[in-house]
Amino acid sequence: MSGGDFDADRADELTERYRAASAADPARPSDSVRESVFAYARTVVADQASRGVTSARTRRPAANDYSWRFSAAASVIVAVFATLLAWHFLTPAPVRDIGPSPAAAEVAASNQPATGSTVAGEPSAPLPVERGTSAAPAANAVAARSRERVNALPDARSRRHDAAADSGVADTSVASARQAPARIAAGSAAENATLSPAAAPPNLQARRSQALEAAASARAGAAANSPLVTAAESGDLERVEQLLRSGMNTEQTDARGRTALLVATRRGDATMVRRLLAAGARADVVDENGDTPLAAARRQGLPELVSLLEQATHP
Amino acid sequence: MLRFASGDVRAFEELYRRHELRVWRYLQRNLGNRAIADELMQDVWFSVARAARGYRPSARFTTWLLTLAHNRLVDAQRATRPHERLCTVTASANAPSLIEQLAADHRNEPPERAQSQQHAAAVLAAIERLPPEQRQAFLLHAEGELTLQEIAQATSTNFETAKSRLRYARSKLRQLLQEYA
Repeated sequence: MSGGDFDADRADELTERYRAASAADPARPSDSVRESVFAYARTVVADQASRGVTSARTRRPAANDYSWRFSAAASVIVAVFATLLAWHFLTPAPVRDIGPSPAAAEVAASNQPATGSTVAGEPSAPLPVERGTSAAPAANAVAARSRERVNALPDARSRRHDAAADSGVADTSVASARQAPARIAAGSAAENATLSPAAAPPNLQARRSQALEAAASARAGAAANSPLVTAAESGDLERVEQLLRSGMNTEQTDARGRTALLVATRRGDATMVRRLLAAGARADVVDENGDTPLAAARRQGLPELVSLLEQATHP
Repeated sequence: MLRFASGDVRAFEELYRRHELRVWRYLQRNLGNRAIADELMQDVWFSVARAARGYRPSARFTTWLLTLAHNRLVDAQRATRPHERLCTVTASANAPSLIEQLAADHRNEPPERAQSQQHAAAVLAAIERLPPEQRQAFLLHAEGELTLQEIAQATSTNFETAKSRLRYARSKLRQLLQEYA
């Protein structure tokens, strides 16, 4: 060794001097140590032989066995991978994806009847049944289907059809549904609305709430299409007669729970009221504001209608 | 070791005799106390006997054995009360008296032999005066014949630290021996 540089793994002159000095050192471990070590070794061997596990591998790694490091590293990698997978599949889609795109809203609005009872662009507004209509699906129809796949449950499809039936579009074909983005959005919303709280991730509450609103809106939209209410509101007695003859249910309501009788009463149309009462319309049906035809007639000071409705209510 | 693991006690005895002095000297020169060195020696070989069944020949047996010895040594030094270590250091600081004592013991020996023994005693005394980490590195290299990589492994340090300790140990030893000369 010269200066600060040296070959550390080479036995230099200093090492040789130490080895020579060490060899000349007469100090030795005591014999008792040797005897006790040998005795202990014999005990260990005898113990192993008595247990019959001399050649068996122990579960505990040896002091010089570093293979556990690879096992530990592999375990950590697997755990991280599993966590990433779980995070990827269990994290719900952002809530902002719930609403339809402007394109879907526009299509939905263009298909709305001119009743004014629903808000244009409402995501769950159903479309009139038009088989064979080939409207191009909006961009968010793909997104909606993608969300459906992500949130799919085993009976998701059947629930979606149930929801569609509830909203008055039971006779809508699958092909029509594929081509109607607003309906897909409504179906998806209704599907999400029917998910049980236990089955859905907890952070989907806001999303489910919006879906419930959308489903309710879908049902309301379906009722808004009630032709009897529409005809009564427009004063089209001929149309009302036609619908009543065809067996139309007189209790059908619009989005605000109004029956045709209530609408006709508010308009003060006594002829229409008589016809509806003759067809069996109930005068005690309450709309969403708690109003009845009789109350409306009294409020508006229509004694003739009051009399008619009272007779119908208390014959 | 593998033969002992399969139940051959003679193999263990042979192994012990082959490495006995190497381990004991490493312990004794670091501790400066023969009784404690005997105790640790026994403890180390008990550990060897217990671990034989699961031993994997993945590294040199000497490296593994001296790693066990080093770990026992560190444990013992940590368990030693501070004032005892201080006494040891103080005794080491007065090491020239040991050399003088050894030289005095050989006054009646032939001159060449006496001089050789004095040189040997001076080397050992210089070893005793090294800082603990440097002494361990030097002894693992000179007594255990470990490489720098093996020293780093045995002392749970990195290669550069082991290399640095060994370099300082040699420098210090050379300085001490020059003073003696």
